[in-house]
Amino acid sequence: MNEELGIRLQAYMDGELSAQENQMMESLLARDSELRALQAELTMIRSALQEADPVVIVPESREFYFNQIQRRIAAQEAQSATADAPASVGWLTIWLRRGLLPLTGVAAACLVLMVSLREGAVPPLSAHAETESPMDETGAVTFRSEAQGVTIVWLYDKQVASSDINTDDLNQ
Amino acid sequence: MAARVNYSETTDEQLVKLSQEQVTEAYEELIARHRDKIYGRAFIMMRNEDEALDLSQEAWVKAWQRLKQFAGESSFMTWLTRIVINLCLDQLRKRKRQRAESIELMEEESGGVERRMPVVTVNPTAGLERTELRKRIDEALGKLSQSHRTVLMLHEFEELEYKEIAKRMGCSIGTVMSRLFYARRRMASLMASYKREELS
Repeated sequence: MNEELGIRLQAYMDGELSAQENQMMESLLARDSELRALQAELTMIRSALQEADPVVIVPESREFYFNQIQRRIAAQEAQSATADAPASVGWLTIWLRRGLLPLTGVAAACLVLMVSLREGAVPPLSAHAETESPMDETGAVTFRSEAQGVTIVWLYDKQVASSDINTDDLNQ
Repeated sequence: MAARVNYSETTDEQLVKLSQEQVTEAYEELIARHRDKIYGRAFIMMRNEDEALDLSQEAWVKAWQRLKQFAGESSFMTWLTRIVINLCLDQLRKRKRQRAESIELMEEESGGVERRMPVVTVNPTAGLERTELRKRIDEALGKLSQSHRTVLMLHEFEELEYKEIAKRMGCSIGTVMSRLFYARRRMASLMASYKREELS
């Protein structure tokens, strides 16, 4: 079989020939059984491919796959944000908000709890003060700067802290 | 209070619109719906799990970054599939440049292999269940060279015309025709050999 003829037959089947070329191919097909056999083979493989587009499953869970994409987006946004600040509110901001807001909420709740526990026993804070929580298992160090309008609460596990940290450092 | 949106019941078009407004949950749903198809396209082209994962994820990243440019002229999936295909083609080009000698080129230059392949006269796919047919097609696709597999995928699965395939692959229309012809004939030959193995 002439290879060039086979390729032209394929083009005919794919609708890539002109009307005149189509007519020529049809008359060739009418008198060439070998060409017709090739046409049947090409038709068979084309229908098989169309019928059974292979299904490939992502070998990772939905969450893991999505998290990887999310991290990439965040990393690229961070990169472009440093390159051309100010950046628009993007995925990184949304992602950080989603992650940090709950943490901020927990920190605020701890602060309120501590303040209520310490109410009455706390001497007035000076412009720069550092205090310690009286809770049994959890320790807290609060740093407050009224001048700068900042309050930082540092929570720690007293047992871990006693083994890892020299408590003298915290009391200083 | 605003009603909670059930994204799993939202259409692709609505999810795309919400994603364009930076609603990440909507984009997450789109990813969950179509990740297999996008990964599948990358896998067919690369035949490597890690590369397919990497490129499919990159396609989702790029799509997110370009969502505002998506005007809806084609479906979101068609648009996204083009992105992943382009990423795979870029990767294949890089790989090809790294090789001193292209095996694929040698394959093509040897020429006329398809002339030696007898025409398959008995349909080797007849009576096969879809799962088995898919398995065999996947196996046969794995035996094609990357350029043959890519041209076949672009034509059969993405329904691109010769001209468009040539543009994307950076080759002539003649090369596309010849690669496509070889790929189809080789696929037919492989499918026939699987049938023979089954019967023997």
